[in-house]
Amino acid sequence: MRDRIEPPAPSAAAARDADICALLAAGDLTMAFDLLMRRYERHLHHLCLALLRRPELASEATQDALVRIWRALPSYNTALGAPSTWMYAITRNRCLTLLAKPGLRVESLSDEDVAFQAEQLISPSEPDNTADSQQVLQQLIGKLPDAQQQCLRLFYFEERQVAEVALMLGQPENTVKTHLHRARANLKQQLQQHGLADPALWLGH
Amino acid sequence: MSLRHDLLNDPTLDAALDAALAHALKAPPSPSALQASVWQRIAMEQAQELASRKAAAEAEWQMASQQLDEQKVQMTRDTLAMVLGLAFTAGTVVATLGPAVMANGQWIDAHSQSVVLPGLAVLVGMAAGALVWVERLGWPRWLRLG
Repeated sequence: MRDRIEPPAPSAAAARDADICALLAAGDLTMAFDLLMRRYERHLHHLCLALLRRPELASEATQDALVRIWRALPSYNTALGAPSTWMYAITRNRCLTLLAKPGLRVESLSDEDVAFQAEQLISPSEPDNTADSQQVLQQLIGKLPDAQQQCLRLFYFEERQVAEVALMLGQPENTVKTHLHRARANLKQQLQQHGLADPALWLGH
Repeated sequence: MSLRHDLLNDPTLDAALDAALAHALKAPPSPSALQASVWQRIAMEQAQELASRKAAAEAEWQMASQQLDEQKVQMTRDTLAMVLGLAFTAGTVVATLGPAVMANGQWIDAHSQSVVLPGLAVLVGMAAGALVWVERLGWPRWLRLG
């Protein structure tokens, strides 16, 4: 059973894992890791997915990160930050290492592809047209700068909790808010450029 | 106001976009059996680590054992050489000085000297060699008590 966690303030991140810190202090690594894994498995997977954007790669990276966390757990101490902050840092590093490998970076679609999809949405040329608003929106999101995409994806994965997103990305909350604001502005601009400024066109769902 | 400015500040569009994004970026489910896979990988890594540690310890023990054997063989050779050298020296000393000492003391006649002196030289040489052997390598196994 997964624990539901409250959105933390940076200082509260340590407080919510006080039970895990107590287990670590008592030397019960297995129990502490089990608790960490149950509490953060979902968040770590979201983080990997937001950074890597490929589900199969994200699953592998989450597993790798958790194994690394297990290996590093004996050397963890509170000076390294809250357990969640520490785990997110390990996971981010694992994802960045994977992204540095050639051929693993996800390429976004070309402008022409997006334009074509948008055109199909406005005036479908065939009745069984498969282009839908979600697809166009996904493609437009995929064309945003990496930092904005990561913030946007995590923001919605994490049920709009800016504090948690900031913790996961290791950035100040205000930076996350700025990225989110710019991402939305960029999206609106792109929607307008593709003639999709009317929400009725892409709010069919 | 420009169209762009209007668009950016349109609350209806904001709300619509937020709803559309929430729909498009739904949190995906965690990979199935992730925890079990992680524990399995950890167990496998620990087993591999244990096996490699065991192999390393065995290799180290074998090397140490081989070194000890080599050292023992070397020491036995050195001791044997020393025993022979000492026995020969002791025998030579007895054979050289023995006749003069015996002649002075009138202990034994000249005829018997040819038998006694070599025997004495062998005894002194063997005693000196045995002393060195026992000091360096201990008593031979067949002479040890218990």
